[in-house]
Amino acid sequence: MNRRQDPPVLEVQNLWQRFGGVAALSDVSFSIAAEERVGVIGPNGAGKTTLLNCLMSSPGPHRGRVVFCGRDITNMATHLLVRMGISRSFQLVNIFQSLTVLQNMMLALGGRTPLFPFRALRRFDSDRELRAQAHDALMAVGLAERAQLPARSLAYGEQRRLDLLMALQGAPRLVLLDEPSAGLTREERGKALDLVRAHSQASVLIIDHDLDTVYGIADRIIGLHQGRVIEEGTSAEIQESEVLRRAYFGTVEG
Amino acid sequence: MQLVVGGVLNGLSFGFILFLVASGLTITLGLMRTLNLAQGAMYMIGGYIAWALAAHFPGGFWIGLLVSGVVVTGIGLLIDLLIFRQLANDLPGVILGTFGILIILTNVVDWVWNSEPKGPAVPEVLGGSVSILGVHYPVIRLSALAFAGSLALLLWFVQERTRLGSLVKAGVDDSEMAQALGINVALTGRVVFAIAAFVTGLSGAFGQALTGLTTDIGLTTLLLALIVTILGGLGSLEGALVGSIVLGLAQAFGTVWFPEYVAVVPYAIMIVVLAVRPTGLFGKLHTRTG
Amino acid sequence: MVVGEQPALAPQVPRRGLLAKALSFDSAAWVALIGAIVVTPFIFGNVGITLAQEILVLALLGVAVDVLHGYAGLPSFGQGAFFGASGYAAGELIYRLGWDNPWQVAVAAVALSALLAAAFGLIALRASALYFLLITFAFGQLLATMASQFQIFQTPGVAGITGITFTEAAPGVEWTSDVVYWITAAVTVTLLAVLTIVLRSPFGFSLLAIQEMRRRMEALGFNTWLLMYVAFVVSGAIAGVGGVLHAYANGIAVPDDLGVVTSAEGLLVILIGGSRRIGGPVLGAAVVVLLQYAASFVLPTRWPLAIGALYVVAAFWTKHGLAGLIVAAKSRATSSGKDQHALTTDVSTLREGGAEADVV
Repeated sequence: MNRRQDPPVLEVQNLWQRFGGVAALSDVSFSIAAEERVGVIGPNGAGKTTLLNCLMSSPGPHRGRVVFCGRDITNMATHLLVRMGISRSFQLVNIFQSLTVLQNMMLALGGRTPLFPFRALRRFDSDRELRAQAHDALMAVGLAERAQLPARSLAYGEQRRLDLLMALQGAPRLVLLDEPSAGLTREERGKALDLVRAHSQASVLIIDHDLDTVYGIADRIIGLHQGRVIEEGTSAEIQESEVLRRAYFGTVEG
Repeated sequence: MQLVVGGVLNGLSFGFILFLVASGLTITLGLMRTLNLAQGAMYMIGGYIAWALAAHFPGGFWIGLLVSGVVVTGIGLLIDLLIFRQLANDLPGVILGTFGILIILTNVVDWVWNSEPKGPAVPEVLGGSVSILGVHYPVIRLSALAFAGSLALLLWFVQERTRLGSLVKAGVDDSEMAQALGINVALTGRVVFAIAAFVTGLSGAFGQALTGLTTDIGLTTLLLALIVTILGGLGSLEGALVGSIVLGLAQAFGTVWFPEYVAVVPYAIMIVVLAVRPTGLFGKLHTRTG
Repeated sequence: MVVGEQPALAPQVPRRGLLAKALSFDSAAWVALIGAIVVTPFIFGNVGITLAQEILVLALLGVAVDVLHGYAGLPSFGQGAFFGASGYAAGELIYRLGWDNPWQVAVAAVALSALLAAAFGLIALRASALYFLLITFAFGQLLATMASQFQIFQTPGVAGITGITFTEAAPGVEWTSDVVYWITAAVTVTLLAVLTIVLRSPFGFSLLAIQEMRRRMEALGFNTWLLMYVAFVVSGAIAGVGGVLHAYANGIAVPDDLGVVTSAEGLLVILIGGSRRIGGPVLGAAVVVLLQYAASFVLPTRWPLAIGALYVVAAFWTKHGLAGLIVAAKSRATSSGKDQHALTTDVSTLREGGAEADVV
């Protein structure tokens, strides 16, 4: 396939991470091609979120390299990574509860604009252009009528979609999703994933406990266990994997 | 030779006394994530009470030790009840509240005992000096060293070998994890704070026999203890000990070598250490990442 | 709720009628402030001028503390360092370099405070909230100690720098305490107005968002360190302005201006008057100064005891402060009050919301 001949969007080379005396990640290597979607699965404590944090330098890895579109971005400041086109969502819905939906969206858009906080002196939410942009973005996910409501008044599923939407602004080339399905009903998960799928130009790295979610969106899956990559393959291959089954033994997944 | 020995003795004896005060501060900071700005004032009260008793009664020094310990513990309990418990997560509130208590205590001292500096009240039994190998050692300094040193050893023993100590270490290390494991971090903190208050009172009583008293000792002791805490790392007894000894020695030799600048020396040391190790000598990762 | 439904227009900024604007706390506060400033010398004479001067200067210190504490979420216990540094700079410029123009001296002194903040901020911002508190505390005391120990910071016979006075404020205008008062008033009101605008702009808003969820802001692309650093330098500069005016009024710079006593007062002012509210610092400063004044009558030699008690009482009153109570009362009285303050109220409740456990 043509797309495999493009340089990979993300290359993770021999990543190690330590906390105190514990190795949270041991010699992790993989790559993600352009427009490819990769899922990372593994039991609790496997190091999935740690991996995500490493990629975003919060904190960066103890050893190893992270290469994004040919550039070494290991330990580069998080906000610079965002400007370069990497975006992430968090395990807990991380929207600003006391702001309105629209204000949340405006903040997200503002973050992509260099020097946004220093460009204007007028009141934050009186910027008409920014408001219109934010409103348009909200329309795409049907949250436009809720624009003026405090974000905390949204149902959890809607909050999650707002959260994802904020992370997807600015046409990122790589999106890192940390447990996007947590706390969502089946229907809500579907809508959340539709959102991600709609941004087809982005490569995706998705972590999730819900295997259906991961299988539903990922082209390729990596299995992590105790900080090491123990398996890699398509969703069909992974489902057959003995290695992973042994790692998962004792946990019930649906 | 006499000068060097004298300086070392002065530095060590003062350093250990300082450690006793700083230990309370650093553990409170590390364990309860809260700052008691009145710690120095508690030392001061301990000092003035002991001084008053020692200066006016025979045998008053020893009674003074005990009374200081008790009274300052009482003050500590009051601070805990009034401020720490009511303003649990409100750091600025605790800062202001304990600062207010510092002001009040300082002014009470000024009121009761006036602002004249007081000379050290040394009990007769500890007066004078002994001569060993031609070098003179003031007995009071030796006994301060012995006293504070043994208390320090006791504290170390409590931390390393008792259940309370392991609770404290766990709480300082990772408070959330400790609580998740069922450890009552808040209660541990309170017990520790009461112990620290007692120790602070005792050290104030003994310390006045070394340095005498002025009404600004409340603030200056707090600052020294704070610098020791920053130097040594929050929540670290070992760090506080090393820091106190370093500062004590720097103080002792500084007053001899460059008396005009001696007051600035502790800050200079602190800045140098922080530049090299932002978390302090033995500190855990208490600085922001990213 | 259906994808594809088109609302008629993008929602507009809520319009505020003239009366509604007039009723909002903001306008009332400005009117009251300016009114009080103008009226005081005529009603309360020289005593009034002295007290009002102190209040305004302390209010500036309070604002400086609030920019860091209320907006950037950094509790500083050392803004006195920048407050006093500019006073000392002014003193040195006059005493050792013979400068005679109050405006040049002021600008240079404030610039120095800002530079000091720029330098120290690089170190201080590496610290988490608690550590930050300790380090700023130590810094202020370091400067105070240097000022009281080193000859270079003293005029002969005085523990401080005297002679901070000029021959004239402007050609033909003699330098009197009245003149200093009007200068202070003008500068303070202007600075408060400018800051109000700045703190409602995307800059102030970003600071508040950072305070609520720093990691999220980073993940949205904001350079959080830079924003906090700018806030730190701005705070130092504002404290510097207060410090210069303070030195001008008293004619002297003393070590206490640099130390914890001053720094604590700044924090006290904000906690009493209210954080992130227009008029909060002024209200808080008024309470502190007037209470001290009253206490000096009731307890002529022991009035610091009353101040200590004030600190303890204020510690419990930290939720909203005075200004917050007034705003709450106003919005109960006028039901439209809630919409007008959509941004202000929301923005100030950002603090109360649960923050990520990012701060040690």
